[in-house]
Amino acid sequence: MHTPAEKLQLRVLLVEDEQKIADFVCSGLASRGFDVEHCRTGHQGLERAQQNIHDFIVLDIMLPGRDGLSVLKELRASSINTPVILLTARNELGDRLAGLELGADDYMAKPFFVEELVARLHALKRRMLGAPHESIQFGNLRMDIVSRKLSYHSEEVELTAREFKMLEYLMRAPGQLFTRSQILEYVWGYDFDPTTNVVDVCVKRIRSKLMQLDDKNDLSVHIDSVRGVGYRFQP
Amino acid sequence: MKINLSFRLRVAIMAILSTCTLLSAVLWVTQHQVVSIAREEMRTETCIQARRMAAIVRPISPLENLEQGLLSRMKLASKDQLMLIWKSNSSSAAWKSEIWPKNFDPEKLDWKELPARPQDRIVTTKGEISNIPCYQVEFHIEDPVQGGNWLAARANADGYGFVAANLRGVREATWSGLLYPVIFYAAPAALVLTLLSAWLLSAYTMRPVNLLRAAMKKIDQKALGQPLQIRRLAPEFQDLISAYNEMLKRLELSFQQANRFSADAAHELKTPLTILQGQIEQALISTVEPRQQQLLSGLQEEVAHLSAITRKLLVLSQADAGHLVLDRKTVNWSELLESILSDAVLFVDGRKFTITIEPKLQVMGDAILLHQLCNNLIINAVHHGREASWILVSAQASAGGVETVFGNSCEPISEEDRLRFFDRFYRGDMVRDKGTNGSGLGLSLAREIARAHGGDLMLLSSAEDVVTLRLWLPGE
Repeated sequence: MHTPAEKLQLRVLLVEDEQKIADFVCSGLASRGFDVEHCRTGHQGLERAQQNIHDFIVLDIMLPGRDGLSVLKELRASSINTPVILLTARNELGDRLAGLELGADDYMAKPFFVEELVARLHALKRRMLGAPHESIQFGNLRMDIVSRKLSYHSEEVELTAREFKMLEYLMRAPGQLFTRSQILEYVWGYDFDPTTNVVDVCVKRIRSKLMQLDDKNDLSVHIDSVRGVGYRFQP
Repeated sequence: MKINLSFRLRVAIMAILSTCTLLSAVLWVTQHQVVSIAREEMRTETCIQARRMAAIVRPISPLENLEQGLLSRMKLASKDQLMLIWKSNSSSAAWKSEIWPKNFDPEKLDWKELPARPQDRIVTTKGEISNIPCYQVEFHIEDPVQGGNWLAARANADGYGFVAANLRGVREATWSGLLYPVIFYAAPAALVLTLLSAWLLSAYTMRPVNLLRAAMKKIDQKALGQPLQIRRLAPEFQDLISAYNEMLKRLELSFQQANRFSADAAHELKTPLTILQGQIEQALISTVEPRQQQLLSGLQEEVAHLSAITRKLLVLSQADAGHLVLDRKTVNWSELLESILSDAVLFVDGRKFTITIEPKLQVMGDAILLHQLCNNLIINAVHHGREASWILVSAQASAGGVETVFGNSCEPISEEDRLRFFDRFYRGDMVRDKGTNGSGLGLSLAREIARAHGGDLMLLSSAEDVVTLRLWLPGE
């Protein structure tokens, strides 16, 4: 069992003026093995980013002094290609367009879950480094992140895209409890109705697919339900 | 430049009516004047002819010729309108017109002598210059042919002359000689000219309005700031334009304010929401106590609900201010519908889905917003529908775009509720009774998104317990 975050410490630069947001992002990322540095203003953030020592930059758009989009523009102009995830609370659609045009790699709308930020950082890392064989393995269950296939005793388990995305989310943090809201937001996107039972239905289907394959009865992993809360992947 | 035909017709009709009124007024006055002048002339003429006849001692030419000569000199149309008598005072020679009425004795009439003027002197057949006195009278005869008012003159010298002209004939002569040409030639020509000028005039007067309309059409909500400028217009229109520009300026200001407000409000609302959501998330990770976990996850759901409403309100306010930014790309509508429906089919139990989607339907639009639009409509069908009912989705290409129909059976919805179907925060009673957790913004938002794309969303009329929505989006 291994997750990439444990193999090497990834350095993240967080540029965010709101202290309370910075606090939980820093502690959340740190608990998942990231090395986080925090700046409060655009100027400071730009200065630190130009050192070119970070693996990722998480950049808020609305900042005092110099806004996030201009920091991003300046960075790309000075050929610093550190992957950037933009955070924004404002005019989402317009900012999204402007940010992606200026060379941002991903985009997250506030409010967001730190767990989702972690997942997106991993996805970005894979895209940047082009890791050809990244996989997560528990016993005989192996998840190939790049080819997006799940296999058990080298036999492939048919999963839909959504089922795979959900399982990947859970398997990256074994033992950690994920709420329905978190899963819904990450797998279905923010505009999906939070009152539907789609998460439960999806977990049920993943479970039954795993059970069908478990003819040797040696599958050690399972998805735990936590009543009224959500699910966790138990190795 | 397009001018409404009915506008032109109205202008033309008004012009023709006023021309007709004017023409008839002129004709009426003219006719009166002409008839009274003609009557004066006839007074003089009858007198002259009576004197001429009185001066005849014996006729040189046949007496019939005399009558013919008088008819043409007095411009009368027929013999019915002329009476005359001539008789010689020195012989038995006499002549009386054929139409002379029976028992008509001119001597009984109330004759009045006309004062003799020097120019009335005539040379008699005897070769003397004479100033013969002339008497005149107007009288009336009841008769279908000759009836009417007559003007008569008589004179007595070497002979006796009596000449009477029917005044109706005088009136007829003025009509046929002067007024008929006016009515038959001048009036139609005037009317044609009026029609033509009205037609041209309506185009000419509408020209500035059309210029103005074209310029106004170019201004949309996104470019309210541009003032209208048309130089080639009359001063009264320039006043109109500056008033219009003033109004634009105020509108632009209020749009900007509304837009800034929505951006600020979104920021102010989302920052605490982000903090709340992040802190709840971290608290959840650090607790193992099940009741705590349940409580925190319940809070998280409420925060998610609140953020969903905030996002919808933000998009709505942007749409209202006309600042909805679209990232237009070709979107595979069939795939998008199918992927959302596959989720819906997954979590909705016991509903019969009827899905007919033409493959490879393409629309031009913002993928994220279209996803939201479609999602809202399907969620709406799921929430409003009865359990164990049906949901219908059909999509096909239609004139320059894609038409998608969303239908579902539901509890009966009143006409009143249907009218308020797209109202914000409006939820029918039955939805509230069911405790559904919608925000009441989904349909309004869906329609705004459709309209921002140049399409539309409308509620079709249907049975009371059926909801049918028709969505049209422009294709590529």
